[in-house]
Amino acid sequence: MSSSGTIVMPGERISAIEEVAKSKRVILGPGLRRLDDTVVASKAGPLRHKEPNTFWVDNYQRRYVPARGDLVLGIVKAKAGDQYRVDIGSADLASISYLSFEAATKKNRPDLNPGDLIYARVLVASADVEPELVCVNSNGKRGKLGQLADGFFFKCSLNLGRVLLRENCPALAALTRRLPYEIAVGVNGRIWLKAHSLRETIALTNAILALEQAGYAEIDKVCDNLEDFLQA
Amino acid sequence: MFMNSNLFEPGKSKQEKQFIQLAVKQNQRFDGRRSNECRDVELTFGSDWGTVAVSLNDTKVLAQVTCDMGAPTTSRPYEGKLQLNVSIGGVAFLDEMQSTYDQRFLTLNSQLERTFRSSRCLDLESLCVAAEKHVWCIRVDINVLNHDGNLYDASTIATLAALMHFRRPDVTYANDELRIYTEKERELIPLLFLHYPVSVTYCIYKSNPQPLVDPTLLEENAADSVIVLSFNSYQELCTLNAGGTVPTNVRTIMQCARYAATRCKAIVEFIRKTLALDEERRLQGTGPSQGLLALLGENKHKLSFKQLMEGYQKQDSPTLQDSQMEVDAAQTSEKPNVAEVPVKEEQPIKQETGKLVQDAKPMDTSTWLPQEATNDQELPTPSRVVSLKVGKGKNRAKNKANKKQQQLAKKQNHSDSEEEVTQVI
Amino acid sequence: MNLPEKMDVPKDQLRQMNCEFNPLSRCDGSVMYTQGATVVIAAVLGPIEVKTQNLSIDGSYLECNYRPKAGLPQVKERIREATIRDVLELALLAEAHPHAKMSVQVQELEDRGSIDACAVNSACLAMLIGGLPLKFSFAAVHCIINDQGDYVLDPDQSETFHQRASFTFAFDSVDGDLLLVQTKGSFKIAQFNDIECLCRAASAQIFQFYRSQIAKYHGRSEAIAEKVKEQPEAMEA
Repeated sequence: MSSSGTIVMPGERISAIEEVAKSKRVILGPGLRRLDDTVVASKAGPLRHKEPNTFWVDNYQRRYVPARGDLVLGIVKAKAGDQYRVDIGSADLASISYLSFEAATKKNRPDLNPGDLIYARVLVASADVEPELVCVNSNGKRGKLGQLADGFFFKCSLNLGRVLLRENCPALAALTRRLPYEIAVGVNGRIWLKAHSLRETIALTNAILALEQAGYAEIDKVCDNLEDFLQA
Repeated sequence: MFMNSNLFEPGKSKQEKQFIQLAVKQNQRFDGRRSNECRDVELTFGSDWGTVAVSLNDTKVLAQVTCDMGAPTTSRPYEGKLQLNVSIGGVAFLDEMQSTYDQRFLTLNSQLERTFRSSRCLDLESLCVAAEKHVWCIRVDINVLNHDGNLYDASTIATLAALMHFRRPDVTYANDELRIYTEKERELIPLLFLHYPVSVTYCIYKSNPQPLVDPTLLEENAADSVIVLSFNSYQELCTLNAGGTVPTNVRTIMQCARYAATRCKAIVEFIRKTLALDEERRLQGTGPSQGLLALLGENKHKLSFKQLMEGYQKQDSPTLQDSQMEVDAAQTSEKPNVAEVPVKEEQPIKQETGKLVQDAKPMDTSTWLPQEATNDQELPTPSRVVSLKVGKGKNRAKNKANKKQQQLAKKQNHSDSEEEVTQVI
Repeated sequence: MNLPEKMDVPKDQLRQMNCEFNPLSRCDGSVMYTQGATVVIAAVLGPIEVKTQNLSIDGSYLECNYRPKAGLPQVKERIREATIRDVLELALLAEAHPHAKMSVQVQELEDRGSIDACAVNSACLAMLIGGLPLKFSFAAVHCIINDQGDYVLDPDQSETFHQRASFTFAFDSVDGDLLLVQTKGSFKIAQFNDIECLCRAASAQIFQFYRSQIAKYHGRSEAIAEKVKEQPEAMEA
């Protein structure tokens, strides 16, 4: 079965998944839940399927629900004890320990203040506890994570964030051909962007926000607009 | 300050603030507008009298006027009442931002009170039916639907348009008996106005003296100070609200005021046109009017400022600010010395303040307004730029000669002009 | 868009429905919904942080407000608000987000009859577009008996001045169970049954409308999904 994209509504029983489940294990993604022996949708949108056994319901949710392993952009809101409180757009503020930064010790604390922006990974996420973030990988190296200085930061839909994060996303590639830039995309629908000049940053911001409306078919048009803007 | 923020507010992180400051410095705005360019205004009238939805792009406000009979206050027994009621909870979820809730709500409310009540724009005496007993109570409910910056202007436009659109039923009072006529018995009566006030909002940043008109939420949140000016269609100042942390000089405020006055006049003109169109539609339409259904989707029933006031924009654009900007830009490219900008401005201010002193008693505000050709600022752009450039050349020569003196003089001048202005306002 | 006039609509038909998704930029999901000339806006926010006094460890707290166009909410509006909340509480999958709040706001823009039903329907659409987990979707239908004794489904305001009784029913989409019954005036039980059947039939039409609108909204950027090889989405569950 391919990704047919039939629209399902909440409460609808999805027997196609039940068929698959008879022969092998299936993974139910967002918008699907198991009710005794049946699979029922809880959100409205097209049903998506990825071989071999993953199903989910696609929708344009705008509120982020944390999940372990997600890359997110957060704004530091406050210092609390030996933790920072970070807004990642979820229901609760997330927390990050002073020690979850590269080369941080009890003496050598990272210098973060309210209003600063960090790129972090979600370490703990559950509906019952507040999410916890880290800015290092399991080897204690920061990699791409950590504080983001300069640049510009804006919000988009969760969907656009996920689209941009897909491997070899054609949109970002197309934009790279026109302009060099640095970008950090969070699955919580926040994007940090830095280009050589201010004008370029503004142009790119508008181009990326335009993708939300346009879709991939119109990437070229968006890029053309970008060039027009820069030349103007 | 940051707690319990369930909604994402742009412009609160450091990056955004720094970036906006930088962008303002280079005269760049995200939506490609120039610093003196406003967003398009769209009006939609409901099928009831006194229902208006206003949108400035994503900022959307709904105003509804209602009336009922009530007793007047003892202090003003011959006057009707005007009550303004702002609600920013609802679908705009502005009350979710607990920290900023009170501040936002109070400033918006006081802004509207001052613009419409304190300035006495309605002829309240005409709303009196029987002195000390029965007067009309006019109530305006302003429901904010969405906030994308500049709630002030959106709400004042909505309020004014709703009041102008509203019709009250006719009423007679005889032998201690009040009789309110229905629409079928007697025609409804529009409200009487003394003047028509609207506001224009500016944002000022530390990095650039050039103010931004009609800010978006991002610009508004990152701004160092916000100035709200209300003018009526006769270009008289009704409200001035300047807060924030930027030291703002008189020149900037006067510059804002000049542009705001013409803008307000144009907006009132625009509201009049839309009302006329609405009237036409009501007369034509035999069935129920479309009302707020027009908000849905793209259709030709939307009444937008850009569409209706095309002529105004062309005539308006080469005003002072434009030339100002061009000049400023020209200067930066010429590597000017710092003293040059204030020096150049000195003469107009001097002139004005001179005039103000003369005319201070009759309070004739029109002297410093751009409509009158009393000061040379009204000249069309090209000649103005040329004349400025010439003037600048002279100034520079002077500058090099006695810079210190001039700076001293400038300081004096500024303090002088400030006093004068406070008098006028 | 044509002027929807009730005169063109037969008495056993719903007025023309229309909606626009996400007209408001700040909230998590919003919808402008029209039925005939009645216009409402509904917006949802959730799951969001909840005040401690409302905190519940085994389910989310539901906040629901209805705002009239003019004046402060009075008893009538509070009753409407309670109606919407009752229906939503039945439909919301509360256990999915404990320690959280779901906030639903409904703003009346223009009342031209059947405002109760419109408010409930708009709340449902807003929940669907906001991606809040639901057990089922729901639809409400308004119907009156006029002074000639005829049944008028989804009446315009002009038709409600002379009515003997008015009914509002809400149905769920899975089993078709009744979620809400509101009646006013005097009627016979047989009439009640007739009208319930009439409304049930009409609710199917509303569910169809929901589905088509959601499909339309997703179809808008279906191009994205087709062009890209499906990559695993960030799993949220």
